[in-house]
Amino acid sequence: MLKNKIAVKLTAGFVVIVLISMLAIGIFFIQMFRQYAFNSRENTMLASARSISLVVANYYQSNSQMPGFGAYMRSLDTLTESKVWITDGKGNLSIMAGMGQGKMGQGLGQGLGQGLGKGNLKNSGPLPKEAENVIQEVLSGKESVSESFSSVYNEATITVGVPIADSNHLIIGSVLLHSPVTGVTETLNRAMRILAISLLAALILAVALGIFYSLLFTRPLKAMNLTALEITRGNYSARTGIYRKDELGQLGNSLDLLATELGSTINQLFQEKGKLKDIIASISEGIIAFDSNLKPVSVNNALAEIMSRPQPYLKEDLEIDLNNLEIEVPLTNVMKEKKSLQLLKDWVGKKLLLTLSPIVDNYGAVTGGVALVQDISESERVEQLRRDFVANVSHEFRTPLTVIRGSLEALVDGTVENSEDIRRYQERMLSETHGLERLVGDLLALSSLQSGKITINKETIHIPSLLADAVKSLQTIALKKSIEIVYRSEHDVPLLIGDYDRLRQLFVILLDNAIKFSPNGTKVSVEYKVLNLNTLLIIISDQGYGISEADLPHIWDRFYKVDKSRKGNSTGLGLAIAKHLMELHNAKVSVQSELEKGTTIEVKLPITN
Amino acid sequence: MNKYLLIADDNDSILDILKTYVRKEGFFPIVAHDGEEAIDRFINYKPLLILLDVLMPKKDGFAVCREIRQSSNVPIIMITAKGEDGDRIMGLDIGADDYIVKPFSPKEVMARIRAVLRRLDISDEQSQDVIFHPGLKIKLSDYEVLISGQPISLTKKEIEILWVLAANPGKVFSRDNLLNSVWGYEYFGDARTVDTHIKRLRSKLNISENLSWDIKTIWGVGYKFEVKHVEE
Repeated sequence: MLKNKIAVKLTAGFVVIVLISMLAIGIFFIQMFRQYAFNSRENTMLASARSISLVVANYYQSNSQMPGFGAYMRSLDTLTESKVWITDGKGNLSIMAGMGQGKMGQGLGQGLGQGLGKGNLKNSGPLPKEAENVIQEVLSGKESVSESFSSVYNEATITVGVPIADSNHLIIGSVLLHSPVTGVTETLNRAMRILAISLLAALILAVALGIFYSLLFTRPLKAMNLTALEITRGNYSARTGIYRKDELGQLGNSLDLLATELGSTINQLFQEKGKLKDIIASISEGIIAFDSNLKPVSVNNALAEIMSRPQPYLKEDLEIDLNNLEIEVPLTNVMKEKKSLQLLKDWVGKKLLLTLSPIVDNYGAVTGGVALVQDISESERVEQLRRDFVANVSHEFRTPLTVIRGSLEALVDGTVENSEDIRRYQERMLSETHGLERLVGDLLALSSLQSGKITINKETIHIPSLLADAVKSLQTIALKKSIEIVYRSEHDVPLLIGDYDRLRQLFVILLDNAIKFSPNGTKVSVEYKVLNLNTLLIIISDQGYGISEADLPHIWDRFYKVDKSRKGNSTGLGLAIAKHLMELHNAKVSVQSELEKGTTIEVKLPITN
Repeated sequence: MNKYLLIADDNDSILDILKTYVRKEGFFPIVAHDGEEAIDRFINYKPLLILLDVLMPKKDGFAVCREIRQSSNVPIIMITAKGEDGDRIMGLDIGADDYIVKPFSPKEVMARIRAVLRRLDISDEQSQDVIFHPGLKIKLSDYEVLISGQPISLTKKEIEILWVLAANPGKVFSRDNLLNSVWGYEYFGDARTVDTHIKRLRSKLNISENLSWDIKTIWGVGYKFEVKHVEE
């Protein structure tokens, strides 16, 4: 793990770079120095060798008559700081002996050996090994320089050879100088030591710098990592806390910005989700979400009520209910075909409309399903009412039409011939036509009252006069049945605000019914009283056929006729219209009735209207 | 033979029109204004056919039809303002033979009555030599008269007079008519003979108030067989 750490990598990098560069420079300079030292030594030695060669040549030419030559020879190694060998043309040292001074070489060798061998070596007489090659080369007339390491000196040595030529340019011998490059190795060693020390220092520095820089880098990286992890855990308020101007600082800022944006986006998403949840919760339809295995995963509150279960809706109950609804197969199909489906189900006296839809993700795969459960009992009931109404209206039209058509046919085909019958048939048709007209009128009145688009002309109304007016208009019908309308308008009542025509219509309907459903020769009475100073009570009572208890709740329904055999010219809409007229005036009504005894209707009209 | 035709409808005008046409067709209309009355009239008169309105007080046409079907195969034609398929199917399913929707043509109703009756098997009950009236059965071939199921002993001439009268309810027969019908034209008897026979017939039949029919004397003209509820 350690090698994965940036600090280690960085430090190692530093160390390697420092190491390589230092070593390269060090080695380069050491080489340079060494080269320089050798070159200068070689040049010196070459110059010495040349001058020796000249001296030796002169010596030979002057037939060995040269004063001081011997001393010169003897001091040669000191002068040149080298071992000096002089060979004859064949490369033998003995040439010197041949010149009559055979001891010279020996002497030289001894002297040199003594001078350079730190006095311990008796004689290093023989030539060093490499000298053999040098001599051969020199004797061919070339100057030679070679370097080697001498185990004797424990130093690098330089061997220089120069040919000795006579006046005729014949090679008559050679001069060999062999010398250790004194001090070079030592200097080099010292340089190496310095190099090593500075390398060590540089290494320490590199490690320190490496650690420093890695800390500089890794601290914000760690902080950013922690922040990123925090964000992953859902803490969008986490910040890196990095304030730098470099790229890391920018990265940190970007991360902080990311966290901020992410935080607000997530927050918005949560708000949206919350809104959606609230919406789903407040929807009056039940919603069930299924996963891909058809297991219900969530439901809203409305569902329990629709399914007639107590809140909270228990999971076991839900599963039982879903089983009973038998939606597994249709739901499977819906999810397979990716098409919505509507189902009607009966559920404990309710009618439920189920809309099953698949949940499809962005890639078109079905991830679940949704069932929308609507309780359509009420709308079904309203629809039934509407159907009944239409059927009733149609029935109410068909019956008079049948009479008119039948009568007309009878007249046309001569089935009725008697002039009296003909007149009867004609009158019947006329009366049915009036009936139809009334029916249409009543239907229109009812529909405008039901639509609520009716306008009320509010005015102050004197109820006793209004009732008198209504009574008067029904007098003729009452007289035909010798029914007496008893109306006492003795005490005065407060005026009330209302629509005169509509209130008059209301009492005309009620009085008309009273007369219509009373046997001949009876009485209908109209009274009024003030109740609690703010309510006017109007009582209409008859001695008619009465209404049975079973029929009583339905008398205000459209087309409800208590006894169809005695409907006469009733449309069955009068009381339905009356009910709406009372609602317009916030009136309350109560009916008491006993069969064959009579009916009493009490209308309570608020005075402060 | 019996020519009663029961018409059940709660609308008097429709009843009136249908009655007129039914009579013209040669039937005797019996009317009922509600379902209970319809069943009652059916039991009493054993009509040849029933015209039954669906929407009636007390018992609707479907209920009446169902109840009648439990004991009888009498032809029933339903009349209704409801023209929906469901109602027609239901009406036919519970045993109606035909279904007529308002507003109808009375002539069409008659045609349907004829059509239904054509398909009818003329059984014993409906055969030519038997007359039914409420509580009265006359079988001419056997010279048998039953009142409320009890045989009454009558002479040949008495039975023949009763047959002539009962075969044409509501029709007034003069004494000469009856003499010619029963005794023949070559018989030169006194018109009083008819009176004597009628008197004897009345006492033997023991006609009282609770019977639905009567042999009525029309002063200065003759006699007629009157059945209650048979509309004029």
